[in-house]
Amino acid sequence: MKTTRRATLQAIASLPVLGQSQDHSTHTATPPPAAKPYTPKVFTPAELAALSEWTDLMIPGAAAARVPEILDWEASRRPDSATRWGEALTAMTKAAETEPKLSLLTRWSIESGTDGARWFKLLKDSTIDAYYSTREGLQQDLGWNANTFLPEFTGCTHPEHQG
Amino acid sequence: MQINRGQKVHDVIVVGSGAAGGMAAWNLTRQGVNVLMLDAGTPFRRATFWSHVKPWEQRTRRQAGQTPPQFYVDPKQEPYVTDPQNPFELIRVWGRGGKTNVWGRVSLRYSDVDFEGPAKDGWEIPWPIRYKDIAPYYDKVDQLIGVCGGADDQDSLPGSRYHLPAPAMRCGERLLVKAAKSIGISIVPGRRAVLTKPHNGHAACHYCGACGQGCDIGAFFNSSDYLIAPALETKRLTIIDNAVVARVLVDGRGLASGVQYFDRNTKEERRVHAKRVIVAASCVDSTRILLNSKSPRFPNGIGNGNDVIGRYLSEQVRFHMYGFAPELLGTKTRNDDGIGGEHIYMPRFNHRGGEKREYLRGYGSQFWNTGAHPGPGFWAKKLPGFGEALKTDVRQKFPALVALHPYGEVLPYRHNRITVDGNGVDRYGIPIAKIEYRTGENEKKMIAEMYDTAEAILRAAKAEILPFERGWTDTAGSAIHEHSTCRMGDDPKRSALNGFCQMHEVKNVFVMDGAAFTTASEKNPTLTILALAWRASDYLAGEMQADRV
Repeated sequence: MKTTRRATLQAIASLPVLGQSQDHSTHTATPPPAAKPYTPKVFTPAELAALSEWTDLMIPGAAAARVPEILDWEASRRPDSATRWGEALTAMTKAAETEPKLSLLTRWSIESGTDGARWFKLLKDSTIDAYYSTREGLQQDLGWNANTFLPEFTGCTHPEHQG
Repeated sequence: MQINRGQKVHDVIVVGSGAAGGMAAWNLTRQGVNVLMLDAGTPFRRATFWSHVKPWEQRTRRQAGQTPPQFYVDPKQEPYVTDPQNPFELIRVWGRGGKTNVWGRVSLRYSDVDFEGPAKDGWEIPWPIRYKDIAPYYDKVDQLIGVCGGADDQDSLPGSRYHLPAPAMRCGERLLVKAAKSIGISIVPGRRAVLTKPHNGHAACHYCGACGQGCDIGAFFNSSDYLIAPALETKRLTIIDNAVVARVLVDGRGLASGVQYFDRNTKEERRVHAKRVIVAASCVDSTRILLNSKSPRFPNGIGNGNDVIGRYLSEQVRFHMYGFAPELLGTKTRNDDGIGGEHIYMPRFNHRGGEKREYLRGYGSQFWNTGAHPGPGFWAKKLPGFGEALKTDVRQKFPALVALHPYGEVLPYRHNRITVDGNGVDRYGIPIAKIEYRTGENEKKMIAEMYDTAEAILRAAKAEILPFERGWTDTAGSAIHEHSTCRMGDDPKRSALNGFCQMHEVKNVFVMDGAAFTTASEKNPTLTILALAWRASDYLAGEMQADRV
């Protein structure tokens, strides 16, 4: 059963035509679900309202991009996250009773090792991840319009970038 | 209750449907051999892939209860044990095509710098083959599956006459090439098993960048579409899905007689028989099967009379370094998707120049994420401040990211091993694998130089370098390049296989996946797995013809 080079090439050439169509209309996964209002699962209305303010200070536009709802959904999938947020929001809300939120964030942003630094990091990391996964953040703000169909990839066309 | 699937004795059983198993099945069936393939999962349907589902749409779908195909094995369902002090992350795909459904597609030829390495530096055993033995098979694989790349050819990365056109470089990649060149380091076009033009009946890539979700048009090599589908057309391939293979069965002559497996859904035990067995379930799973294949003749597992199988687990060390190219700051965001992942590669070069180094072997680098891509959070979180200033900073930097991911070869150490005794059993009653793995002083010294090199390239590019922790490496296993736990070699006392992946001690058993490698190299292994499996299955076919196996 030793195979000659000719037989190998013939075998390769005789492979059946597979998926040569570039018609991608049939390649969509299951149809997208109909849009419906989000029902919070973890945060109370007061907590969601507070999160709207905090996240919007962290990244302006986060509230309009529904980042608090995303954080609620993420927290519903991970009990440890829900616990961390519950503790952080309680503490941050209490701190905001005696100091404006903007002032708190400014102070916490340069601290390290304090409770405030921990809350700031939780808020910043979560808001960034959530905001830049939204259409508002990734597409409208950053201008990302990829994951599409291109007949060719032209790459870099700047002469000054050539080696 | 054990169920015998009839008394039929198959020509060959192939365990696993990934790169190695798929290649063995394809090559043997086209030569007239009847093959029974056992796969631990089921086929993945391309029409269900979320290749064109945007990040925000993914969330909406998940909230509505939809999910994409679950490629990766849940270790809670199919457990393994690892040392908490030295954790090893085992990433597996149990399903038709295995990891080739979602792999990185980087397709690099090993060279004699790799094959001759151990013979020159004396660490452990040499490979029993050289580049000239495998070169014809690299050529065949390139032509069969389609690999895009450049015309470069060097001692650490041999060229190919069969590359499909390389994709155009992104702006950030051009700048990295220029910067590296200015300090004497070569970065070449990358080599990926992605079709930049239609090839052998498969559609060309349409540059959507979603390869990690699975390609819904099969435009990159995957075993299912490129090997198993044509093998099924021959009518000589039969596949049993959801077959979790536990052991290779041994007869009174000390030869393999078949395999024992468990139905993944019902957990019923079954046995199938064959004259020859090819184990290609991916390094760790293959090794677990072999070690669990105990018998009076092989108390340490089939073919393991010299306590080699399970030892010398080798992977690669890897880290990530990022920066922002000044020329690209604040520019209009481009579509940088390309063929998904980087279009460039930095081959190993540390063996040149005559400089004596304090470590053995070497490293190369990949560059994925260079350009504007979703998921900027991992670097945006490291930027200072908040509010409008942070938002402006992220927007400025988004098109300018340049990224380096150096990979270094880890030496084969005898103490890095997989064992199956004393770790409990899984839900089928099969002893669970324990993975013990740690790197040493050699790797520490190499990593220091890897950091120097990466930083030097970014400084030459005048990039603003994102803060990093020097010396940090990814969790062991995360490169998903496990090797050498059933290594090939000329000395049967120090190796388990010969140069054709055939067991020294059991001539009708072949092990064709990464477990067969003698060393891990710094390179991605899949192209070499395919070439070795083609070569080994050609050898097996010849031995069958001559009635020697």
